Amino acid sequence: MLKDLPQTFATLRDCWITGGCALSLAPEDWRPFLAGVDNDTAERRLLALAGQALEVALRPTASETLTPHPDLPRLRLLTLPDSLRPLCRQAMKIPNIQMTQILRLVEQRGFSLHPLDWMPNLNEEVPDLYAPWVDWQNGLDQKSETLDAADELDETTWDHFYPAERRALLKAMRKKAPARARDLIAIRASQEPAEKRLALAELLETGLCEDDVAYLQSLSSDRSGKVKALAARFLSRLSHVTGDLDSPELHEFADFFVIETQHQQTRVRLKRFNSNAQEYRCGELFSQFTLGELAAALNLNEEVLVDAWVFTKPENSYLFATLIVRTASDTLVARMNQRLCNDPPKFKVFLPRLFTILLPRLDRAEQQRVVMQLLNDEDNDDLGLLNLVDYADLVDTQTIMTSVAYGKIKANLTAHFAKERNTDALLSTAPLAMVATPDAARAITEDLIKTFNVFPALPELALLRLNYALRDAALETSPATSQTNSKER
Amino acid sequence: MPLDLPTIEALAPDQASLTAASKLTKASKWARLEYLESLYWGECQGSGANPYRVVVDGSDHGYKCTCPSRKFPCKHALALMWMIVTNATSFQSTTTPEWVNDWLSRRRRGSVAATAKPATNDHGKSFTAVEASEEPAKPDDSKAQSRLAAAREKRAQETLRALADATNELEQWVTDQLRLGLASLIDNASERCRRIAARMVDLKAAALASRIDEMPARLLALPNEERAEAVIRELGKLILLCQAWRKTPDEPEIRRQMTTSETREQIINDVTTLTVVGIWEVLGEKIQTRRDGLVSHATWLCQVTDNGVPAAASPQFAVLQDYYPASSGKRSESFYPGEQFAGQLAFYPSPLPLRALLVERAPVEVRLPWPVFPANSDPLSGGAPFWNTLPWGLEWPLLLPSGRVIRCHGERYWWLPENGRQALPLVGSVPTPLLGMPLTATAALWNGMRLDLLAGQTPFGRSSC
Repeated sequence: MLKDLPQTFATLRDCWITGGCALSLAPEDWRPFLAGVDNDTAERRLLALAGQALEVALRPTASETLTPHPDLPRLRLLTLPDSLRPLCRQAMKIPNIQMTQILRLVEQRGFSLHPLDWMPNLNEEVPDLYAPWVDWQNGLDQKSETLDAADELDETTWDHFYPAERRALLKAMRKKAPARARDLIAIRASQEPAEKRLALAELLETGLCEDDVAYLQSLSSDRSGKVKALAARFLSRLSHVTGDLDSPELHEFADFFVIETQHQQTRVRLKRFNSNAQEYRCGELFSQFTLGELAAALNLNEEVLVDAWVFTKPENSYLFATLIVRTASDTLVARMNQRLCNDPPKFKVFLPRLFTILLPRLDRAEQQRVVMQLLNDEDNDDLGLLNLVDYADLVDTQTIMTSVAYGKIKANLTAHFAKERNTDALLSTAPLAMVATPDAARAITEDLIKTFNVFPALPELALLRLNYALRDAALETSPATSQTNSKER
Repeated sequence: MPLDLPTIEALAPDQASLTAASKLTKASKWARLEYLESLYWGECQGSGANPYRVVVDGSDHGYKCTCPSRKFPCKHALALMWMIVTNATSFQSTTTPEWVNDWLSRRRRGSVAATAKPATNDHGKSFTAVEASEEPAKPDDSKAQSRLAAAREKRAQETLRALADATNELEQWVTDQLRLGLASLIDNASERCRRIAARMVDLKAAALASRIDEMPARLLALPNEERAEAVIRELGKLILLCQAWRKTPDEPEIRRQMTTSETREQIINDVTTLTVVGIWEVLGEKIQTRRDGLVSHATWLCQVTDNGVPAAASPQFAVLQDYYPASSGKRSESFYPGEQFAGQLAFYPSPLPLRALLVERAPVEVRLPWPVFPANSDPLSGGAPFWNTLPWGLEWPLLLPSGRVIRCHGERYWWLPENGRQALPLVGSVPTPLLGMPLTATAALWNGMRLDLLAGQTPFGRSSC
């Protein structure tokens, strides 16, 4: 009888759905339970039997094959402890703080986020740590083949990795073994279409060095204009000028500049534009040429050009800073940054944006210089840039507590709390969490609590609390390693 | 169990509640802030005419607020907890007012505060006080006692007769539905169920009425093609329950399904009550606002042991079931998913004890593992005792073996055991990352058709589902 149960049940169900007596459809085995009572009672018993049979004897079956999804990859860092997950979720909700910065802070303290708290969106640019999750997300709907496990990326294991993880591995290889990574890129790029070739060549930016020149020069004759432009840009960063110095466009570009000498100092600026079309054209040419080409066209040394630039009209300075970031060597970018920090231009209000342009090319020391400049600039009220720095622990307790910026924040908060108790104003302190050492973050938190009589668990303070709570958790997890990594310098 | 900030954060239903609570943590927002030992209470002026009365027991995190919020704990309770931790000096030591005593007496925890004498300078009457003042003086003579006993017996007989009528009427209603067609019942479930539920209320079958009243919601939560099967199960279970009641009307489990539950006092004071002391993990909470305006708040617990082996002859699961009006926010205890505590539970009498009351609760230092599921067993085998003993039950807890969640076309989700044999469909959806996490163990509720996941053990740690 059990074999026929699905069919029996379907017949009974169809009868009851439309309405009517189903007693005649009852299976033989059930009839003894339905005998000796009136029809209504028998019908109800039949209903109860059918319901129980459904519950006990029939099991749901999927109408399609259930194919497991690939395992979500474990990341190389420990998952955030359960005790810190609520605090991290609070911090993630703080407005105007970029998710990538929270990811960076958590990563630099030795942890990765829990996947149920955050997962990268498809094709989202995320820190390399999370590249396996990007690949997992992208592969989720493809029911793709399971890849063979491979520990190391090389030509033979290339297809054993998904794209995002491969990129992360190549970047890591560029730091440890740049020549091996370059050779691998060169081999694979030659087999790829232009777009992928460009993406691979872009990876050379990590650890770009003189040894890459030969390969970059080979890319100068690539079929793709974008690849050629990228190679020229990288070569320029290595102080190799590749373009045609006699090209009419380069002369047209140079004609936009004025070179003056005042008190034996060379000064370079852009001419006043006569029309919007002229201004637009100048902008176009800025994106076509390199700093080296421009310097050559102006008969100046690159260093002199960087030093001679006059920061007057902000839009022009942004164009010039972008040209430097795109095509100048690390040394020249740092030189420009030092110039801005040591001898800031008169129009300080534009400084944050100039720093924002330079920041991606600055190393830890230079970013720290920018942060110090911003924290101690009397005229600056914009700490948003602190959300863009790439390094944690840039500012210690003493420096941050005595900084001009922190003093101004506290003054503003004092004025605010005198008028109302809305604690949203405390959000102005959140950017400090991105650059403060754990001890500094704790000191700020405690100072704010004490000064303004606010409560430690306020969501507005979550990022500052997360900063030092992560360090404390890291110490618990691995006291020896964490102590050396995160003690205040 | 000390109250601290991480606990408050974990208790908060969402970020918005914490943010809102933070705006109420200034003493000036409160008309009064008082305490007695671990008990703290205050009055906070909200948007209503009268201030909201909030009380928190710092020892076990129990709370109550009179605001109409449907978040538990509400911002007022959170704010008061917050102030207990960070600004305890704002509270003045005093005796407990009547309304706090009223709450304590309903909780009946026997804590030190509960035995505090009512304040002489009371700040308003409580319902208990009103009820007490209306109660006639208790007669102390034996004649009066026998009169009372006779009256009780008469009431019991009336209830029995009413329940007999209720079962007859319900069975007739089921017969009518079969005759009219279940398609028609599904289309008009809300109206028809409401009508028969109202009759059940008239006939003193309050629990049965609530169950029938909630049936449309359970049906509507299912895809169209599954509703006919679900309604046959639901009606079949009602018939079984009616039959069971006729056979053993005094059986506590069946009576509870028909009329009302025993009071907390009855359970605690009954010497035959099964009490279990152990370490319990909060698997998850299910909060639903019912059509009758009550909030059903179920906290599912699983007993954990240091070796992962279920405690012998002891219920592995327990559910702490609270019902309270959505407008009052009454709540006896607070938990957060994943929390483990040492506790004594008193189980309601049943052939398969499941519903329980928390008698004692204390924090634990070390987390213990979940019980291990027997290898190669039927994943639903844990449900067999339930459907054999309490076949009218609507859901029961299960601990499932290794498996994982799979998404099919049409955004339907299944749990698939590692051996690939008996897959089970899920209620609703799950967060995408869970699709990539092997679940070494899963706690879930099975309703006969679908699994409602509570929590799982994954390579990333314990995950609430």
